[in-house]
Amino acid sequence: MTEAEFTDAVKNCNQRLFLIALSFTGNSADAEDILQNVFIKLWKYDKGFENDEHMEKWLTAVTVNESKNFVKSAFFKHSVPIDEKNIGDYYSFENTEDYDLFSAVMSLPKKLRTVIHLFYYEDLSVKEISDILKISQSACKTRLNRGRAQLKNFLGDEWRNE
Amino acid sequence: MNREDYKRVFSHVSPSEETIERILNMAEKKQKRFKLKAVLLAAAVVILMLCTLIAADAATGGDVFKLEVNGEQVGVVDYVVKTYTGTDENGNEFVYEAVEIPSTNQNIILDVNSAKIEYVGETTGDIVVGVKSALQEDVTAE
Repeated sequence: MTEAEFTDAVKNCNQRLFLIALSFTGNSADAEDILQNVFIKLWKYDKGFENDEHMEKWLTAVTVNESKNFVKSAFFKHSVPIDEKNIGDYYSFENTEDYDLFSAVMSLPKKLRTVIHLFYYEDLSVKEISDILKISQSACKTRLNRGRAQLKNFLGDEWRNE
Repeated sequence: MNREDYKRVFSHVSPSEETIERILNMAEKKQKRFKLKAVLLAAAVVILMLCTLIAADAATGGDVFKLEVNGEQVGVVDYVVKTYTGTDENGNEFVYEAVEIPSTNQNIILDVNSAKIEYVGETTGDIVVGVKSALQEDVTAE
């Protein structure tokens, strides 16, 4: 991979991959560390990609695996955030509804949050999510429904189920 | 909430500029390292030609070839440690011995019959200076 190709990949995919990692970690510092590891792997990957779509799928899979390993690590399990500030306060949103939605998603348990994120942001189907997370389709559907139910609970009238 | 709402809200969330800079710089540094390797390789090829005189140096008791590391003259023989296989521009393989200087941050001056080749600065790995055996044999034969 040339430096130019790498730079393009970082510029085009960093936000999407960061959000996947964030859905696992729940905090941006760890998600940024995962993002860095993913791009190190991309830089070292020398087998080449058939096209951009192939590379993006590869990046998604690597990000999910890196994130899963990270949240399973002793470091993550035993670390306590120093800052108790709501993660939504680090970003600027257009209105309070947007802030509420982001905060509601981030307050979901990790297992529900990742499925919700992959479904709503990555546009993945239940089958694709179950494949990538290595869970059954029924477990995936259950998590999706529970996640929606909790979001409805958090957001009240703002919630419109799709 | 529908997908569009979700995507719009999350489009405001991105990694810090510092992280992106760090990732991009990482590739740049790596690229520079590759360039440095290429420079060292090119230097090795030049030295490869000049170092055929090393055999003559040995024959004349060290008058032809001088190797300085960090300003101190050292014995070339101390550094000749390995035999490598290389490929020339015509694709022919050849075997050469190497002067290997195994640490970083060294100022290295190779002085071959007053033609000086100097390398000053950091390296990321060993510096290998090749000496082509076949030519060495030729010179020795003389």
